[in-house]
Amino acid sequence: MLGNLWGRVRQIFSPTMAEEEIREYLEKLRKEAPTPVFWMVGKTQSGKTSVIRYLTGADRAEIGKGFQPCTRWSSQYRFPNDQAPLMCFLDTRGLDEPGYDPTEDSVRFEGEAHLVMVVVKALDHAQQNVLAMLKRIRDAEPKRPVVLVLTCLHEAYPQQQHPLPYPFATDAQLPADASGPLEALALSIAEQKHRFEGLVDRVVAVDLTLADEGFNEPSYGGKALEHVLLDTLPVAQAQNLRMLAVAKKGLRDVYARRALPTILGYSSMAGTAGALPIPFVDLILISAIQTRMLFQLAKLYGHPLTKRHLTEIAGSLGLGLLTHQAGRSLIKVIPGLGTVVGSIAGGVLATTSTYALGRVFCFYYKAMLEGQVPDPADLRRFYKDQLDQAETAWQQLNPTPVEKQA
Amino acid sequence: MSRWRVLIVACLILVPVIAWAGLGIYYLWTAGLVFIVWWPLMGCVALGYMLAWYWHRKQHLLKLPDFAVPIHWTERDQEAWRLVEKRAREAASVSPAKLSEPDFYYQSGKELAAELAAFYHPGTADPIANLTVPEILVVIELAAHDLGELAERHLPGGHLMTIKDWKSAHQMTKWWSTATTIYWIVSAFLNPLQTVTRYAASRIGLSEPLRMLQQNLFVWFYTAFVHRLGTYLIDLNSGRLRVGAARYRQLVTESRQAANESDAVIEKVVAGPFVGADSDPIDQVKQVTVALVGQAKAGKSSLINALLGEVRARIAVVPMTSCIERYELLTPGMPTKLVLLDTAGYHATGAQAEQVQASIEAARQADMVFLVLHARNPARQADVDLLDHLEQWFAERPNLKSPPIIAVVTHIDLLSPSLEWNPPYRWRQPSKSKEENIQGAVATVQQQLGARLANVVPVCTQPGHTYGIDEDLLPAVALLLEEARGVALLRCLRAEIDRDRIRRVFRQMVATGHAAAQIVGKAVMLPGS
Repeated sequence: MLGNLWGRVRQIFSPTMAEEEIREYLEKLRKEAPTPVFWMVGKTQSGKTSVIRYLTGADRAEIGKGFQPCTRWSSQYRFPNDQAPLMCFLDTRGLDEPGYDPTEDSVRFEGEAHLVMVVVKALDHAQQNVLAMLKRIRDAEPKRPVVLVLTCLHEAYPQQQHPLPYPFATDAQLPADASGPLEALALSIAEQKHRFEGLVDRVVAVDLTLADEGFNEPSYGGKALEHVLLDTLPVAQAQNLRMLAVAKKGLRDVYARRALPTILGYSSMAGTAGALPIPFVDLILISAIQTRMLFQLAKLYGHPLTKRHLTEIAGSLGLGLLTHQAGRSLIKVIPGLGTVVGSIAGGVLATTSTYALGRVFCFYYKAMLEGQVPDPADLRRFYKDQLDQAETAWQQLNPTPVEKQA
Repeated sequence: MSRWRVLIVACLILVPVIAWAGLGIYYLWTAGLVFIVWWPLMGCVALGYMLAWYWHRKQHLLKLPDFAVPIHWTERDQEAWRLVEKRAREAASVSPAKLSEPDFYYQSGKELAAELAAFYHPGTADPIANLTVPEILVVIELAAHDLGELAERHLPGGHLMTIKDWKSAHQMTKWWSTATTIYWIVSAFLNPLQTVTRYAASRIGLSEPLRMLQQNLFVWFYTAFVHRLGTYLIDLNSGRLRVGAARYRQLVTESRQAANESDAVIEKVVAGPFVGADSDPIDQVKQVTVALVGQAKAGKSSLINALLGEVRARIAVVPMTSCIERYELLTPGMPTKLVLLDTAGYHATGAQAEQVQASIEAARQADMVFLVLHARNPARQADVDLLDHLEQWFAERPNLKSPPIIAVVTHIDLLSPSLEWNPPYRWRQPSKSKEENIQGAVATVQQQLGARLANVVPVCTQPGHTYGIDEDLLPAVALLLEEARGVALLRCLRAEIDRDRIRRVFRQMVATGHAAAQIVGKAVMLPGS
């Protein structure tokens, strides 16, 4: 009795949680986090991977490795990692295999997939199987948005460059006076639109090629695709894409660019944790999420994280870092914990502070790997900058959450 | 001249020769030279013996009638042919006495017919009963015609041979031995000492090669007999002789001639599009019909234009061809006219089963199939399904031959690097990345459809960028031409039968009716007269 009471008191002053419990919570959080789930439908080599490559920035091999089987006919790819995905892609590879029955996938992905991307080569008119499957998907959830992505436009004008600027208006509409190679393409697109009429909500034409293919614009129509996705995704799920787009701007460093999706994935998850109405639990979870992020980032840089690095950063920043491993002592060391605890327990700060922490960690790690130990004052300044930037961006992305509800 | 006159003339001519021979021998004997002259002459005989033995062993004395399987035979026919060959091989173990009896040939023929009929109609109590009389007569006519030709061409003096000769052929050795026995008895009186040695030498010397020669002749004839009869019995059981002997021989000859026509100087000639099929089977035997099948927008019409070298088939970015269209192509280096059948692509939208059915229908009318595949669209389950359909259709009809299939991989210009088009591309030994990708596309097709294909050929049919047609596709076609011609001949025979059967029944009915009317007419008129 007395022991039990002591345990509760201890819990309040120095919160701990069993590793297993944390994992359970994180699993729950992962499901609740507004990760957009794209259901990719299309024939082999219709350009599905190119679309994923464009949206994530990951390379082909990485995507190929990332896909894990999830049903008999389908596999899924959580980007950038399984723990805190920023986006998720479902791919039905069985589409052209004999005996494929879409019912199984329809049931499994119902409610899970937020948007269906039908990827079709603009000039490929043999779409019997795709149509049949799309009809069933549409019937299962008529309200779920479906976007028709027409790919490989250059097949209409072989050995020629893309016409610039991108001539397509909304829903891959070409100007009426389209001439030359575009004339043939316009005919083909009209035929495709007619074929998929009533089954898709939006149409977009893209040609996403590798840089060494030599096209004047390797991401032809990429921006249009992004706009269509942001328009059609549910508001919460569109958030992740928006954050990625905003944060990507002005990032020159290759490592930082690669680390960005990881940081954003964990930030988004921390935001979800921050919105939990249970005191202390959120705090523990956020610290757990942040630690996991740091380990994940360290792995990206190719140097495993050690306790020394952790304390060094924690010491320099003096806040935000509530690591499970570094232990309770750290919490005691960090001044003004109370205020942090109070303010961090809100979705926005959880997100932005996690983001800023991730960014400052990258800054620190890069310097360290280059053989310098950054000045704590610099680290603090960088953290402050990132936090401010993230907050401004957040406000821009969600101008008035209240308004949206109304 | 009557027989005795011939005899008198023959005797008068022979008497001096025999007299000279006798006188010569007498002189040699009196001069004591018999022994010296005898040995070189016996040496000749010994050499003859050796050669006869050697050639007999290698069956070179009379070459066995060479036999190539007719090009129009199906798998089942070739299996049946093994039964025929087995029977032909048995000839070696049959005694010459038996081989000289006409009855033996009749018996073997009957047995072979029963054996083959049982092979083609397994499980039937009396398989021969199904055959029609005219067909059997056609077999006899064709086999007899062939044998006659063979005998005349290969047997020395074959055109003079009578049944009596035939029967007495194996008696000849007996006469020889009787004659020699008399000779030896006579000479033994004259010179008993030398006779013993000479007798021993000549026993080995002369009768043995004669016996061998005779055996060889019989085996040769029996094998030819079984082969010819077997060939036509197989055609009979497959139902191909219903066209009649004359028509059968005509179609086969036309087909053979078309194959041997010189390809010296042919101007490229193209014609089409025509809708529907041409009718005269003789024309069809002389040409090879190629059906182009494939998914919608795979590039079938573009391939036709590339082959013709002119824009004749309508092409567009959206599917265009809706029914089967015919084009004709005569091109240098190809001894046969190619008839191209352009079909509607399958697997687009709408009535799937109908389009697949139309493609299968076209493939069945064809002697060769181009399966047109888009290099950049590797989803090919629909093509696999089509080939499976086709395979099954032919498996259910063992009396038909399935056409050889060439996979034509189109749009290789779109393969990465897609902005580059700089032929020639040596994709078999790739060194550039485009060449590697072409080879990769071919390998993918081989992996997906491999066993069903006779060949895989990558081409580009983009107007102005045409590549791979003259370089790869036409040579691949030429390699398969013989096989395709076999399919054509078989198809024409079958078509002729189906068409003829109705016409013939009708004609026979009219003839019978006519005769009946005459009888009735006479019967009516009789009481009146």
